Amino acid sequence: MNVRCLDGVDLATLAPQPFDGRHWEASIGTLEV
Amino acid sequence: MRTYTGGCHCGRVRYEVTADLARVSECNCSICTQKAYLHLIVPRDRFHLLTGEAELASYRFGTMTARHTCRAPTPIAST
Repeated sequence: MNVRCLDGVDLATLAPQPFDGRHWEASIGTLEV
Repeated sequence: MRTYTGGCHCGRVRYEVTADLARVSECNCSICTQKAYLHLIVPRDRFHLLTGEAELASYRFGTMTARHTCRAPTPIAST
């Protein structure tokens, strides 16, 4: 889901981790859920 | 972990999600780059659609693996 659609979240407090979606199948295993 | 509410821009689709925002990711695929999407993947049992099920649609591209849900102008979720 898109965090930008959550109510009351200060995006400046987030530290997004990079994800290589251009190679989604190879990268999805590295994503922590 | 905390429970958040959220939804689409027009307000027809509303949901609740329980998540840790430390797991947010920034994807470099074509749609996430265009939409400035900040990803948060949660197990299905931590996402609860409250309203707007009839407003949802499905969009796939590329390898057709990820399903993006958007009928409202704002893409709200991918499954």
